[in-house]
Amino acid sequence: MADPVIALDRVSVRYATAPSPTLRDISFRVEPGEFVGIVGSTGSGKSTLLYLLAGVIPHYLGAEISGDVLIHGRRTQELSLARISERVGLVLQDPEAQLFNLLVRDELAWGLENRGLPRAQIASRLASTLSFFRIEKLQDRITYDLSGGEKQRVALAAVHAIAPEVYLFDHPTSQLDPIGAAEVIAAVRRLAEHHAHAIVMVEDKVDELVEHADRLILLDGGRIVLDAGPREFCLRKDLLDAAGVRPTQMAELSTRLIEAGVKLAVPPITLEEMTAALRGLLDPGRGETTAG
Amino acid sequence: MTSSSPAELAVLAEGLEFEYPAPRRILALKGVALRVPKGEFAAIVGQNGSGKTSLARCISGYLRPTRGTLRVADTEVWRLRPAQRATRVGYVFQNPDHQLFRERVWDDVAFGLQNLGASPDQIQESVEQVLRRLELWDKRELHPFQLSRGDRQRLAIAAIIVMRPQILIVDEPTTGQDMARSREIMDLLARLNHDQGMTILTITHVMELVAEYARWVIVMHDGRVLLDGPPRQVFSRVEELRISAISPPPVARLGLILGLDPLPITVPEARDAILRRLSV
Repeated sequence: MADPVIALDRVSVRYATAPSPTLRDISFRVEPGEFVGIVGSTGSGKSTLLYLLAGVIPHYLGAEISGDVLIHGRRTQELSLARISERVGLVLQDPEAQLFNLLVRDELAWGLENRGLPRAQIASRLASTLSFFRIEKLQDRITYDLSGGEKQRVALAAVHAIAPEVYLFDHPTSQLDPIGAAEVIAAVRRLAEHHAHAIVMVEDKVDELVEHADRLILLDGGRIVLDAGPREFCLRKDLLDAAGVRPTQMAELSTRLIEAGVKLAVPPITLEEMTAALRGLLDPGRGETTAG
Repeated sequence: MTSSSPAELAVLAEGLEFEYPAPRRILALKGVALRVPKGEFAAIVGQNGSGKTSLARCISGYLRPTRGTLRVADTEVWRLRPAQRATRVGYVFQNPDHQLFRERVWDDVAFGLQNLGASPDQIQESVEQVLRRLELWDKRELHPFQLSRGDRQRLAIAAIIVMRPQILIVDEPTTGQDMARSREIMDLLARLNHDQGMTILTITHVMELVAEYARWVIVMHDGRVLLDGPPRQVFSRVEELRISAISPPPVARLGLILGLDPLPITVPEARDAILRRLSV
């Protein structure tokens, strides 16, 4: 097996002004091509975890770190923020906080120019990035005239142009309507499918993560209390309740139906699975009762 | 709904148009027809650019309609002076940080009443009552930016409801909040609606919350009201929802697929409907 892209081993983080650690004893790995969702209520440590992976902690925000944070085997504490940012791209909650060039194509080229790449190489990276995210027609648009979903895709494309190996997302769809959110999630999914990149996404929309992520990590009070595939994650009602997080509506419905004595061999967690399972039960002649 | 007389209506719109001025000249509202009775808990839904926020800002009196009729609490609200307007309709911004600007929590809540010319005793009493009600009393001496995001959202609501508006408009109260915080805010709105009879108009994208809290749903599309009605009825109108790109809560979609009648819109309703079908 290839080395993990991200490896954390018993990491704790305490901000200088805080009486107690914000993250406690965090250990997990992300393999190449893996898409990991991070879920937890406000104050659970999600943002701190993302800042830690981005190197913002400790290089920009001071904090006491114990344990190792490794990106491709290198300790982030020993790398400069500039070196980390070549490997780790961060896409923020509010795309307007990230976009600052007038034109879309300048926004995409900016990071490359900043690195001093030759013009020909900038042009070819720009072209491939525009085509990968299907935003060719936006390239001459003014960034502040774009819709929310378009802005967030441009922000993602600008990070992609730098060709990082790790993508970190901080609530990338929270400012978007459902269509804009779906556009962004689809673009992220293409990244995971077409490149062996590691993706870590903090997101409150558990439905979106369950559809697309390989694993979900639940944070509660700065600790990882659950690290599991989408189905196991959704069905740990005890841990989710304690952490103030709701699973998908279909997972909630599965739990309640099972409590009421309905036999669901594999508890459905998505609408498609639930439809298939219930069609089988309601009309046994027509379908299978298994889901997934 | 349509039988209500103007005096019983919180909002009455007919042929309401609003065009943003030059240089952009966007016709954001293209003839809105709407009647919202007093005491309603209504949700305005629709994609970005459908006209939700323009409609809400016209109702708040902040934007003056370009054409058509708009009466809010039976007055042409944009004609009123701000102090008169504030007791009829209050508008809570999507981002509380765009609204809060004083140095202390207490001052942010007192500010509106000071502008209304309330006496110091009245201010003292009303501010204390609102801060206690919204569980911010212990934080009254803090700077708003020392509060958590959830507390700041409640403070933004406190600063408006202290003026006792008849109608409270809350623009995307749950953006950037986790589900537990979102429910706290919706619970608060439900209490204001129930206890004080305050008419609530909330803009939201979260259909699960619409299903649980709103009694009336207004679907905006392309500058018009495409559809309005109780949530169960609205979530069963597949064709209009497709046009306006609104996706009902997953349990409602399941109910539509399985032909469950009445349509379940919450998880407990879906469980009961399925159990009934299985036992037949």
